Amino acid sequence: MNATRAVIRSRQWKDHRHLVALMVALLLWALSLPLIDLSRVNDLGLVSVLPLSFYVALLLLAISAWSLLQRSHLPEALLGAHLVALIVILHVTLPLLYVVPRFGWTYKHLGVVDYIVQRGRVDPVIDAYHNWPGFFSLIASTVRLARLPDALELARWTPAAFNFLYLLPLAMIYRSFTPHRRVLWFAAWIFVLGNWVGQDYFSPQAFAYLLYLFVIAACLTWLVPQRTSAEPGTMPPPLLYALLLLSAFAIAASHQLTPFMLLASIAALWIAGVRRLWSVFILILLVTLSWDAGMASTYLSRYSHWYSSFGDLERNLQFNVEQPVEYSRTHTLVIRLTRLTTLGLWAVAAVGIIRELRQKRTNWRIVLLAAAPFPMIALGAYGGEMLLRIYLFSLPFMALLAATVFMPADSQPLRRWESWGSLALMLLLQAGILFSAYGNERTNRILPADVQAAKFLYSSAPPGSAVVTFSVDSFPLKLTGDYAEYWHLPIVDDQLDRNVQLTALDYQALQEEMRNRGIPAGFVVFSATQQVYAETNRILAPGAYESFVRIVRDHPEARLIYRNSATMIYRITPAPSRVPQ
Amino acid sequence: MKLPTQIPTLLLGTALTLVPTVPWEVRLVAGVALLLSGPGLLLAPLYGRHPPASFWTLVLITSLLVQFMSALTLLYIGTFTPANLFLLDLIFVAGLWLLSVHWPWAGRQP
Repeated sequence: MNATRAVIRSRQWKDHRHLVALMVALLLWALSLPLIDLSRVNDLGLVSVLPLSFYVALLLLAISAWSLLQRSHLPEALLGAHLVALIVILHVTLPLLYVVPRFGWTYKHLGVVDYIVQRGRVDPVIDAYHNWPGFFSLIASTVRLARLPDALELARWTPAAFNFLYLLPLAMIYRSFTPHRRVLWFAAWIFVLGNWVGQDYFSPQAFAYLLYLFVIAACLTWLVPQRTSAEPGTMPPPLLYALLLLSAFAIAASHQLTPFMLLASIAALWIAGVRRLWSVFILILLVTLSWDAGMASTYLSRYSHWYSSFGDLERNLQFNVEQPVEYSRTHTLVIRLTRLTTLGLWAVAAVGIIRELRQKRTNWRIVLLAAAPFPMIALGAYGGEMLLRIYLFSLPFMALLAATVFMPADSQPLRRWESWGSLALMLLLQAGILFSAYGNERTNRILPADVQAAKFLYSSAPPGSAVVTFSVDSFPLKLTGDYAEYWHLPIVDDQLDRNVQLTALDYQALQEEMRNRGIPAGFVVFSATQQVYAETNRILAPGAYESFVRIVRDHPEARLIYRNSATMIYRITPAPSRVPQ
Repeated sequence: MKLPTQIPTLLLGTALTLVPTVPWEVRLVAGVALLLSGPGLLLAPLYGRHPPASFWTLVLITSLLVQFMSALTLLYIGTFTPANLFLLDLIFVAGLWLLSVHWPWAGRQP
């Protein structure tokens, strides 16, 4: 009796130690935030300005979680609290520091939501978003029901929210594969640290990914559970199929690529011997084809580039693995560390497969689910982002395979190499995500001053006028519902132009383009973020930005109509008509 | 989580969501809570025996899908108003509840 009490007391004491470590880690993180000077971010990204206390917080959290994983009796509530703290540190830091959402392209999504809130409908002629409006309509309904001023605040916190939400279906997936909780928790930890691709922002793909995880989880848990599943598989079939149908519909109506990733995963399970899933495959295929051929036909019939690269494996591969712009030695380091983290995780997962093969207990469902997204490279180049998406969709299963390397599928204490290996993996991934996810913060950041300027612009520029910028990705363009009523004219092409010199001839060409298109007025936006983006990515030659500012400023018909701490807006006029009046 | 005991919470949530003088942050939290609690309360007693991960996933995804379907339907039929959203939410929740409780096959093992 006394011995039992002593064990319980010892466990409680250990739990208290971990709780204290967790609180200290969060306190250190909170204290480190005011010490971060964002104006000093260099080509290494966020790590260049993080104070020592931030790293100590992450280190303390990792060691505490690792120590918990060593115990034969897992305190799951504490482990869960550690995982939540990890997500908070990784995904709440930037929203707190930046005040407005990250990434210029987030604001286009806000514009579509605003369009729906204002008009209560979509117009498929405008752009792709109006052909796959599922996510936007969901957010618009939340804005309408809660009568929010806009979705700006929602967008700011979305990455943290999605990372929390992903954990729920992820836990179901892992429980369907293994009854060993240590493997589950370690895999979830690896997933959070491996999720660096930045697709968890305010976007349809982040929402569709949640539903993708749910469909896989529901199939594995309730439709075709394995004998080793830790989940009791009870669910009335009508409700289960209704949820699967609605999920497939929501995915198809929200995002172009995710349904095909889901089909690949279901096909992988079918190949792994789960023949019962053919009906789910047909269901998803029919729903996807119906949406694409019906509701999205306006877009697909006008823009063939979306499917023109179908089957062109060589071109798609070339487009996806071409060298990114390495604009400095430090940025080259960021790119190399990102690749190293990715390949490292895949290598550990491969070791997991080999280990299971040797022990003759390979679970082919996991292996094939991890491999399923890779053939999708043949589907299309996806703007050079297909490899990133492949990584994301294989991540849940790669993480599980990697976890099995260090966490044996039994309740035995970890061997020394397993124990130290798991700590090394946690720390390496933790260091890796700081570079891979936050290595481009010089160019990913949007300033509150930019948002204020963009709001002013769209509220004061007359419809039919042109918004002229240096890039489409570094200014909050199209952030209001009226965005379709304006011309958006970038001076340079983000993707194709490099080291462009801007002269008075470019200004003249801009004016002539306005005249030829019948645009009555133009608004040229100069902003610090655009300058950093265009110069860092070598889109503009050194000095080209300042040179163009001078050209516009000195032009007799250009008029400064707005100025704040980081932005200037000039109103310009089109070139005179060639036809004598 | 039984329906009768949660009725005051639901009423309070609805009131907070609808009263215009309530700050929008509070309205948002109340709205999200309502979004989750509607389908959650109806389906929870049926699936409460599941482990927490699958139970909360079910509640979350069902709530999201209900709201999603309401919003998308109203978007395409051109009647995107808060009242219609509420109404359609109720219809979808009722539909799912019927599927899970009163369907002839309800309760059978898949």
